[in-house]
Amino acid sequence: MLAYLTTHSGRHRSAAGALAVLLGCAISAMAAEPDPLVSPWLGREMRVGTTNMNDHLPLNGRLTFVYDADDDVVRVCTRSIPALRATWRMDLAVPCNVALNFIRGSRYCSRQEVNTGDAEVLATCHRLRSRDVAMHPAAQKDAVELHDMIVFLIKGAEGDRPSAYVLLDSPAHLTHAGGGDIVPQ
Amino acid sequence: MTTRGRAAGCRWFFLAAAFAAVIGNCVIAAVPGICRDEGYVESAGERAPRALTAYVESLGQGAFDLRSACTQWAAAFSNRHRGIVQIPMAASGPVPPRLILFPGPGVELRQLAEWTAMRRHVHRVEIGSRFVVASFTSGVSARELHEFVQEPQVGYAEPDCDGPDFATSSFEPALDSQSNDCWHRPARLAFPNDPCIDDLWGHSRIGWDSTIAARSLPRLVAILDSGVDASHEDLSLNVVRVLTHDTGRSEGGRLNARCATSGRCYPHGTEMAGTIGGRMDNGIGIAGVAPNSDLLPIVISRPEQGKLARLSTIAHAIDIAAARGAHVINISARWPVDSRAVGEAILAATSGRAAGQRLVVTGYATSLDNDETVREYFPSQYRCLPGLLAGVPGDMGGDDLFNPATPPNATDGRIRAPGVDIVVTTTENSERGYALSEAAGASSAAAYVSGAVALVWGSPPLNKCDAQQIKRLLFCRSKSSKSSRYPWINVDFLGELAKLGAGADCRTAMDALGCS
Repeated sequence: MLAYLTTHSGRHRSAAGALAVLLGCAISAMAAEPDPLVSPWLGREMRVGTTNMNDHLPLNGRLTFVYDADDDVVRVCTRSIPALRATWRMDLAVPCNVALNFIRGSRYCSRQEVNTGDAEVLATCHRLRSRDVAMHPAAQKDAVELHDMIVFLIKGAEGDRPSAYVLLDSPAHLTHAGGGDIVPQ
Repeated sequence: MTTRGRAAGCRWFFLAAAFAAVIGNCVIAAVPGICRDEGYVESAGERAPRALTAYVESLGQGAFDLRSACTQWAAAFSNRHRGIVQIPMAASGPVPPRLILFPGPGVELRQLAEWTAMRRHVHRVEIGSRFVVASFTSGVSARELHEFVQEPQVGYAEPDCDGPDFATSSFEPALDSQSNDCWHRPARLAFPNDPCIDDLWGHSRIGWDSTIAARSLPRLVAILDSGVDASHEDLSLNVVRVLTHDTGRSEGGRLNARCATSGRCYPHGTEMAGTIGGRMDNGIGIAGVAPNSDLLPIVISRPEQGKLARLSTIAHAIDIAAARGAHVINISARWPVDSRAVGEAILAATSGRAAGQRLVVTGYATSLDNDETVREYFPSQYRCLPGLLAGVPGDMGGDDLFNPATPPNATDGRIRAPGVDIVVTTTENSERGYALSEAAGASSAAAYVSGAVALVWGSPPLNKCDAQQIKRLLFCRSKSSKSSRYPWINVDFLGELAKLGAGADCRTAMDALGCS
């Protein structure tokens, strides 16, 4: 960009350079960056370690949380492992399709805290959330199940690699709810 | 809109929601009808939940669909429900109306039933203790339904909902045999010899003592759930096997006939039963909090996935439990609507002459709405009633417990209890009939509170106390934690009762425990 803005005259060149610096600063200020609280979870492939909804979160399915600066969201980039019958479905079957927004709580919560399901506690946890994720055909013809997908970031003990717990919570009367652990590879 | 587009478009909403989450997380709940002075009819002329009235008025010439009506009603509960008010029709077409009807002023229940049975399009009438359930044919129009509800014989009408999102408040256990397999161990050599006893972190957390539990008198605990496996080795001696009630053609009758004690249905009820009253010192599995309890299973859940039965069936189950003299009615279930039928059943079971006879225990079941606010389900919202306790699920982490400077007020009704990683009795996914329930949540918290109520109430001389004294005592002797806003349930004070003489009465015991 700086090279493109350089002009013929030195005076103009310096003015253009100053403008470019200003623009560059402005543009870099606008370019979103991931919240440092979520950064440790980004870019590393993880697997579904436990699940009570195998059709939605396939056991041993691989996924990577990738930051998308354009939309300032975290995308779920999935990878099926056919040999392990770990196949993603519907919205999650399209790599990097499902987008999650980071909700800053006041702390990282433990897996146990998430498992209790006390929403007052869950509201304090750092988490990623997406609404209306299609993951499974519904029992009704021509309908799909839509879930709220909430990924709680689990920091674990010192030295542990970050993991997560996915809660699939459905407001729809068509479906059910459950979840699973996302653990390091 | 694609998921990509939806999520990106919601970015600012989420930022606002995150801000709201940071500044606080208050629980959003309208006051239930049972807790209001004006009751379920908030203003003159109302004969039904406003959502039902609005739904019927919106139909025009369209067909009434019970599932849609229930969805609309649930939409009053949370934003999440509000977003799905349009649902696809079932393949079999609209589900015709089924309404719970309360008699109008001066109208007897029998008169309402007879009048209803004579109405066009009504093909079935069931009579409950306080209401009539009318099932209509699919031919009834919205206008006819509206006119029906406006007749003077009908004081109030609500949909008799069931099914999805009217669910037991936890999910089936995700089994991980590596995390715990205590049920494979041989019997312990010490008392109690149940091999999983040391793995019950919740028992330790609440100050449970096996020698005190061993001499607690039996209390009758009704477990309104999916049934209890009466052949389970850890439960068989405690389950009241024969149900002589409700064997008719009602939904409750059919469900009880199939699931009450067979162990062939959804395992949730069996899991709760073990936590409340699993047999102690029998060389296998676990011990319940009140191991000498009598367990009365009453089915309020359909067999397949723990989806709840009709609201009228739940209300009837509460009536049955009260009629059978249950000291504790455990309801480890949740639903998103303020049902007058259920609310009044709980009120009847725990007020008036019944006020001293029993407590209803449920879980403090909540959800995180999509605007990041916290919503409290029913029946937990009926905490306004003195006879109801709600167990708030807690985990084994957090700070140490200590005696509070000032005992918490019992009127709030919420008390924290173990709600995760509980070794439970179950009917599936385990060769030995046990599992580690990872995401037990409010269900297990309710079961722990029910067990604690039964244990305390069964410990002489506290067996001479009434229900309200037991509730007051549980809050008075609860523990505090710096990491929890709710008091932790605690039973370690029962050891102090040994100092009292055999003839001590409840008042003497309450005095001795500092809870007069």
